[in-house]
Amino acid sequence: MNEMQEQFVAEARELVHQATDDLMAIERSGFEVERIDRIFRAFHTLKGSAGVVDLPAMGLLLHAAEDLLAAVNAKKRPVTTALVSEALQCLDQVSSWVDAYEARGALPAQAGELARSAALRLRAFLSDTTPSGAGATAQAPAWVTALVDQVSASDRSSKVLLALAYVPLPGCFFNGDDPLGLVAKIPDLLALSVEPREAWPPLVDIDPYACNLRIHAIAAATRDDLAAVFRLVPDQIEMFDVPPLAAATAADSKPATLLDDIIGCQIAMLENAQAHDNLYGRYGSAARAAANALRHFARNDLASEVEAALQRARVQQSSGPVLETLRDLTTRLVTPLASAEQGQNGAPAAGRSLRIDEARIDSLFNLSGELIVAKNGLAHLTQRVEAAVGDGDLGRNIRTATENLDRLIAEMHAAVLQLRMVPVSLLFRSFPRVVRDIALRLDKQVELTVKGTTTECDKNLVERLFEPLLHLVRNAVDHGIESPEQRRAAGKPEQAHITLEATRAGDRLAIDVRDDGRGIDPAAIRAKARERNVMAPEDIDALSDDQSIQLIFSAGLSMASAVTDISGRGVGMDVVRNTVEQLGGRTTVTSTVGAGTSVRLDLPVNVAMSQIMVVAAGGQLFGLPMDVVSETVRLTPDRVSQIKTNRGFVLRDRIVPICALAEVLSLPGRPKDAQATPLLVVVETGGKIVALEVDAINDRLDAVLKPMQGLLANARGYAGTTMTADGRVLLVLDLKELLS
Amino acid sequence: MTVRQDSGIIVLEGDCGPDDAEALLKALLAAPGADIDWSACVRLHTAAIQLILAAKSPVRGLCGNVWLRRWASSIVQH
Repeated sequence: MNEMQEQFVAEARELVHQATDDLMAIERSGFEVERIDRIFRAFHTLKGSAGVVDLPAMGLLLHAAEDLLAAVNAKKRPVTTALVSEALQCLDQVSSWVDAYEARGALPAQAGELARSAALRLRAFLSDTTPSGAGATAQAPAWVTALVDQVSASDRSSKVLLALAYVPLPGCFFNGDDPLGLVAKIPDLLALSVEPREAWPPLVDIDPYACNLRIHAIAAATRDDLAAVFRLVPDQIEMFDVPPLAAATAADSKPATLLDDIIGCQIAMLENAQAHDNLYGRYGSAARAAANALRHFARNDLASEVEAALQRARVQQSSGPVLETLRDLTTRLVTPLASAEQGQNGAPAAGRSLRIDEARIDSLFNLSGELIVAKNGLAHLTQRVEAAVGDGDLGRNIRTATENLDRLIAEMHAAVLQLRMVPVSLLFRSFPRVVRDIALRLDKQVELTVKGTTTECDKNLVERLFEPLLHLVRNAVDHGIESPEQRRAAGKPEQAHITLEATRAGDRLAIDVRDDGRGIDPAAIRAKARERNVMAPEDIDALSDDQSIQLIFSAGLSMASAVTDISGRGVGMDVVRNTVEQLGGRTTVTSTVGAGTSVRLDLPVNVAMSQIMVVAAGGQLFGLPMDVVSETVRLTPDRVSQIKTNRGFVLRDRIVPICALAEVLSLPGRPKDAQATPLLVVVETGGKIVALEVDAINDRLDAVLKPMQGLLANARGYAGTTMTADGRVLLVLDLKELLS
Repeated sequence: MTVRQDSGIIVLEGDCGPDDAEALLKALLAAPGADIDWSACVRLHTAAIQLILAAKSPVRGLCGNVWLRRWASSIVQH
């Protein structure tokens, strides 16, 4: 990508974002000259830039949208929700094309067709008619029937045919186009007609450089084939399916690889999905199956594209993005694109900010992590040197040098972490749209307030928190907020409020999702928990109201009485808690019946660095993540009580079971010594409290965890590895998994 | 030279690019109704083809371009 293209991508995203905000604002507040002007300008600039980087399909779509907005601007059309939805949909499309353009320097093959049908829809909307060919495929016009007669019967019955109308722009010769030259590239051309677009003028009046042709063709090619041939002039062609003569033979002769087959099946499944099906489950599993298959064949780049599409699909509540991406993949898998020009960027952008490839920052970050491990090793050596040389100058100097290094490395690591910090606004920016769309579908009036958007956190958090927040916000609109009638009856304003707020305290980031809806009834939760056997009945009875409502985070406890397609499968809240815990955070919910619910995600700002406690058990060293360790206790034997075969002790009025860590890990334990005073590490995780008996507590480390790799990648019970000060590999335990 | 007149016939030779359209138009205006011989023409730009269509000129011989030869009847069907 050259500088101009990069700038286009950045600017287009900014414009899409700004126009989205403004569109939602006018939807709320009605006609506002200034905003409409700004929206119009955004579309206009987008259209212009699309022309500059030569994306005619995007230009075509934006042109139609611009016309619609011009009508609004001229007060010929009122601002309605339907109109805003049309414009937003157009921006969604643009945004997904910008992503595609950034990824591989071109729009997907079907972009032209998509743009045309979308433009048709926008124009129909503008003229209050239904588009002639509503849907993706337009009805075949009369010339198709005439032309298809020229195709032999055997071709007609054995091949899937496509008709193409190509009306080159009058000025196309000046763009270097040779329309018939393009037509000559159509694979398997079966019939052709060339006629004047307008009747020929007398020869003396003819302009030899104005194209006046209309070309019709029939080919045994796919839409993608034709889209590829005409990729530079997608705005000038139109495609129509030719109805088959006889039943077409089902299996095409195209040799499909396993990967093609897998992706093809996912496409078929999505295409056959009915509106009332569990659409969410369908496109979710289709995307995952495709992504897994792609990963298996080492196409991680494509797998990430599919996952990105899934995320868009979740936001849009439609399988469209997934389907589109999968279709696009099928064509690209057949003809792998030559890798786009990369890494030949010229001078860095001027100004005070510098755009840097994320991968470079990540590698810097990894190096800095290694440096910390190396430093830990040096600290260990320094101690040995000091012990060996005694209290001399040499020992002192080495210590001072080590301490300096220590401080510098800590500062450098902090600086590198700072590079990874991004404002929370990146995470929050899609939510106004999400709330609007869901509220619209549920006939609820909801206003979203977003606060603390300049708060910064690690980019990792922004990436990982999107999904949990999406669940929370959806839940709030779907279950938390009452219908306008119910709100009126309860004496509340019809318009509900949801607040999304980020606050930072020290190295913790708190994200709150608050609604002023119906709240959570602890009694109802307890009843549901009993019904679903979430835990033992006597334990449920013992819960306070506050503790009861935390149960909404348990697996399989959905609070909606009816499962809707927006939320309510009881998986969401579980996912929220798991994701947040993986990031080293906690989730809490507070709620007042009738007044609303508030969910707080409390996370470390930097997920990258973990504090580890090094313990010995069964003759080996293990790391325990400090964030689950609540305290360490050395017990006198009389405090240990034997309950049947289990041991336990009382810690501040709570009975805490004791487990020997060596036993949990199936390692040989030390011979039991009745007089021994067990050394215990009390850990709290997943709502459980357990005291782990260890042989020794050695050390505390600041460490960067490396995920388990290779053969160990799927080993359960381990969070990752790091190096101890003396260079040994330390396995860090995932206690939640281990103790469940 | 890709467009030349030879005893009342307009002869197209070699690669006729978009710039040759003007020469072809001049030739057509100078000799209305003249035949066009395209047997030595290996490429013919759309700008030139549309002039042959507009002038309804009869073409002679098999076109030197394989694709145009295959589709000649569909394109220049006066």
